[in-house]
Amino acid sequence: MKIRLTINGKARELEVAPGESATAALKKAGCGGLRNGCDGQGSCGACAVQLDGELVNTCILLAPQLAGRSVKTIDGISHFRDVSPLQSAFIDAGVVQCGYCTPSMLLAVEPLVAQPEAPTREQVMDAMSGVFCRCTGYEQFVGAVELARERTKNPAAKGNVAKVYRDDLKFVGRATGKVDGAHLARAGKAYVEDRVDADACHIKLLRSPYAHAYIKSIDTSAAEAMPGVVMVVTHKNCPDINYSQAGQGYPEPSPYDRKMFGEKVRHIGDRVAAVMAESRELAAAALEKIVVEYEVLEPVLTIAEASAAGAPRVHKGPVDFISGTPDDLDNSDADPRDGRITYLFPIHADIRRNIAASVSGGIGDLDKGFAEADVILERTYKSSQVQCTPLEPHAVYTKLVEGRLVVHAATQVPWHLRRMFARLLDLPENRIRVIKEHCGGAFGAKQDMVLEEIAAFCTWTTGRPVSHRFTREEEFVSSRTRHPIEFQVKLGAKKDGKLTAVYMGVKANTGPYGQHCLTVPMNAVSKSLPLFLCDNAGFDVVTYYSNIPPAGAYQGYGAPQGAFAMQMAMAELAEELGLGQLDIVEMNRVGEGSWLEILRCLGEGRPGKPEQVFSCGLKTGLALGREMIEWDKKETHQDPDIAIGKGLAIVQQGSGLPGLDASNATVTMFGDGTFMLLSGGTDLGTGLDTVSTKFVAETLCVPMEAVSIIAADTDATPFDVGAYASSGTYYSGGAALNAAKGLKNIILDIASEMLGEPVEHLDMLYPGIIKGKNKQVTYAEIAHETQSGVGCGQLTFTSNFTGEAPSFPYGTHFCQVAVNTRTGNVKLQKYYAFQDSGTPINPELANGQTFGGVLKTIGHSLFEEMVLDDEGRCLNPNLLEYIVPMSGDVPDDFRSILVHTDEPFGPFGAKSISEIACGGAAPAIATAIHDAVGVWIRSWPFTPEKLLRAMGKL
Amino acid sequence: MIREFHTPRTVDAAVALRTELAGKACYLAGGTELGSTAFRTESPQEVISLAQVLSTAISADDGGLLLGAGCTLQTISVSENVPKVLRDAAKLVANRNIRNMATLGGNIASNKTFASMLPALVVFDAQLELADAGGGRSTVGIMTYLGRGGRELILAVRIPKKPGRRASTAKLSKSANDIATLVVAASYVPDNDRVREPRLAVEGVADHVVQLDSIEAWLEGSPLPSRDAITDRVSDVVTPKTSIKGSAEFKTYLAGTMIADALHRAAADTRKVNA
Repeated sequence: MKIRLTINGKARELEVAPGESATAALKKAGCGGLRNGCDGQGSCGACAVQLDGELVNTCILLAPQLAGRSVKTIDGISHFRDVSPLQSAFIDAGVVQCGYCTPSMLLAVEPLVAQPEAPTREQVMDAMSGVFCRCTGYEQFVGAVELARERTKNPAAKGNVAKVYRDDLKFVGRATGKVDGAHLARAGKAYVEDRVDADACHIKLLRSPYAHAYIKSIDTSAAEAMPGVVMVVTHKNCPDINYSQAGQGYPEPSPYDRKMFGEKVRHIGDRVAAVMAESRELAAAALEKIVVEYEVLEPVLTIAEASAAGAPRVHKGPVDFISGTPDDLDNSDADPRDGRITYLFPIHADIRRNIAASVSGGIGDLDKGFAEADVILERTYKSSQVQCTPLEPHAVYTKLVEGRLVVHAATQVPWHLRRMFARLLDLPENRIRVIKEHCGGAFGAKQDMVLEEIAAFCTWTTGRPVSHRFTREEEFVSSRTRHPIEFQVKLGAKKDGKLTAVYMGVKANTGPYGQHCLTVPMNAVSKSLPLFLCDNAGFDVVTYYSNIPPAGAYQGYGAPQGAFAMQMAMAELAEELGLGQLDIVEMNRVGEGSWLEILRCLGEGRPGKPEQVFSCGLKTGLALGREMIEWDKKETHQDPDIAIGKGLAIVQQGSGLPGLDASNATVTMFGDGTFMLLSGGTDLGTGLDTVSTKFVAETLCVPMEAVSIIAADTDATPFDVGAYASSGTYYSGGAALNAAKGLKNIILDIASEMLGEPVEHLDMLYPGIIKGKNKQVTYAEIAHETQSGVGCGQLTFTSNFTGEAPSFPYGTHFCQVAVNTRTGNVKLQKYYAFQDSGTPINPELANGQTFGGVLKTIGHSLFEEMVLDDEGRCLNPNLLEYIVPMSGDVPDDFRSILVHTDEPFGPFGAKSISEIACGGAAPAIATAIHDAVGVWIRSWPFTPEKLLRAMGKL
Repeated sequence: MIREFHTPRTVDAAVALRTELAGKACYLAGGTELGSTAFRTESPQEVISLAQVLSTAISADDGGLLLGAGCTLQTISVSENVPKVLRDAAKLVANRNIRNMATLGGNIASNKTFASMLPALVVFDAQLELADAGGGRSTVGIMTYLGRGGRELILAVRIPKKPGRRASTAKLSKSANDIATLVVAASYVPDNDRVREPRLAVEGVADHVVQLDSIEAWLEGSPLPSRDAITDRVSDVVTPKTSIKGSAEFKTYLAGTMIADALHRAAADTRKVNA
């Protein structure tokens, strides 16, 4: 049927099907910026347009409903290459992170820019209330709208988007906008879905309906016979290679405990078969034709079930080791159907007891420490299984280009992917190119290879291009989640609050496979114990296999769970001793100059060693927080049913993995004196490309516009381990800085020759001039000289960054909650995050990452939780029922305060940002709840029902 | 799969089409239920768009307030003519995009747990103007319509005048945009210290909105009981089921507590919301 409508002010006539979605119809009509994050639920708003001026979700509209209406899309916001005042305000305010929701957000708030009266904060939040953003925490959009309104009157308006932290520098430490901001704000092609060619085939996966079963037989013949079906992959014809999907450096601490498709399935949603077909619909139809007979096994879902004597075994395959093979290795009872497990080195696993990994350690003498204590407190805490929920689900597009495998991936680890593809496909790495596309959010989930290898195998086998993208449900049941962890914390202290002994027992549930099974739970210890100084400290970590959906990396990497347990225990200890929470924290906390002895036994991927803290913003953060939130004042509410309380937490993370991480970058001068930066760094929307560009521009004294960047392309750019462990600014940025410094020396040498003056007499001046005592030369002149027929050749420098310093970032989080004592509802009135990330390189984006990290974990604390039934089936595998934080969940008073410290080992004094923001919410909120109503909620999420039970009302 | 999309221009044409296509077609208003993979319960072969049929007007006359069934929840939430409690009820759907699409008529006709306006409409004694299959027009009370599984096309909602009525509505959900665990509404007309014409409704303790007739009868003519007394009574008559939103015990407690609070909140609100 034909419909007439107006699109971005122009009359159009479209041919649509009666049941066609409006999203599809508008895409066919050439509209950009329409994304999909919820598979047609209408819960994420990524597909939103203005319909007669009101924001609507096109995924739940039928195309014929557009008839006679006026549609405005992102294409109607900007004109040609220009960005509108609103788009520029978005960029400058730091609200364009991954960019996947940006078109919808622009359309959501645009009417507020034009309205006569200034919108209230509540109006801005309401305007955005239908659009899910996992990155930004929504807060800075208020400032963005304000700035846009100013710019409509005065295009030069700068607003007040972020403080300046280094007024001695041009770009570092001040807001400059994101280098890819305009492209994303215009909804330019950026994501994997934008790269898929029209002739691409598609993959759909047949997934296990059972949590634990052997595949007795599988018949794919009917599916393979269907026209348009290209191939079907099962355990029978996939590579017979066991591997880990963890995107970690080789040798990985994660066991190689799976094949592409196994003869055994270990969770509901586990892979059974893949159909590659010429359309998605055809692939889905072919799945129906596959006949599978299962031998169903009893599943184990909880740590208690997995660790029980005689529990069903999740893994029974033969075991081998690349190094450190134990003398007593015994495979006599192995079942080959389970597949082989290979350990690259011992991680103290015991698959007969479902133990995927374990580690123990300590310093001092725990028994002595507890014997010296006046008070001993022992508590248990639990975290739940929460999902990363990047707005863009996992996606990959693979094709052959001149005989080489080219992979467009939404990944945090392009080089690890290449290495893993090479092994799985038995290819040399030079036959593989991985291009990291913009990620519509990642948050750790995209550190692992969760679908990429199937597409790569299909393309390499058939020679045809393949697109594979998870549905939202698949994202829940087969992507990555935070490990559910049970903690036993035991503290000993003197009456004055001084700790004498600290013990943390950690039992983690990794689910069916062991990606990150050692390192995430270990990180729960290594990021929480060192916050408090105690001569006697110990820990035991045991991670169990089970049949729940897979766990893995998630922003914070175990630290949020560990922080919850440790900070809660300290708060409970304070109560036991009659002390204030803040006072006991102050008494025992780490500070500048502290030696962290416990790290002697908490090495990650290499032996540990004590580390010294050279910069620490905790003192400032605690002092500011105490003052700003009026810590010592007891608040009351006019409604006697509402109780108000305040809580806090201190948190620590790392800045990459010293001794393991490595980054490389190349800076090259072009003929006009501008530069190209080739960075291995993987920008996930966090602003890493901007960080690296700033470092080069700052060092070479040129405008940022004079530095272009290509990043994270295994063909075009040098190696980088990828974006995880908060390594981006420190390592990848550090490599760019080192490359720029190297090139600076070369430029000075050349200029010295050209000017006939010694290097010591030369100054590098902005914008791109070398000035001697007598003469000066521009970069353009240097480029011409060096690139001419008699020159020394194009100037370029490649450098790397590795490090030994941990450069811990610190955070202090305060919050104030209002608890409805009748309903158990918790309202966040205030949340202040004081974040020490050294020198904030992109302050507006650092604030955005802080807001985003905090709001994610507010969600984890209050409502996010994957609910499984008794068979291991996730009952809420969608955004609507799982529930993610939207703008209506933002605390009434939400602030990110960057505490500027100078880290001697970081580039321009920087430490990491991002992950550190995720640790504070759960303990800060839980201790505030206790302050309000006197109950300790020791497990996530702090639901109204849980509160009511704790208060004795149920 | 939808094979036909009809756009009738009159109410009668829409109703005639529905009659003619019985079993194959359904009405389409905002589309937030039919269009959503989360809420869609029907898979019609044909849809009958009500875009050109339903009124979007809000007007007041001696009989009270008249809201066109095509009004979106957003329109209602910001209309000065609409009593605050009904505006609040419309805004219980926290997702602006959904409020921009969902219609009043659709919210009533769906009669699902996400129909957050229903409890408030019930306690305001909302009357529905309907177009029936025979081409006739009728007016029925909202609970009568819902009780008989109403299939007639809703044209408008009338909120009768009730001088002195006090009302309140509230929801409890895990997050702002979460579909409510429970929505309650309460109203009554104060008569000196007595409760007259009490109306109590709860969404979330059954598949559809529930009016608490027995509690209303208990309250009629009495002084407003204490919150504890109301809570106990309500808890005795609701029978929710355990779901991922909470246990039956929790919902039972909550229904009693929230109804009690809503009634007392209404009592404390001295505005004559529908005078």
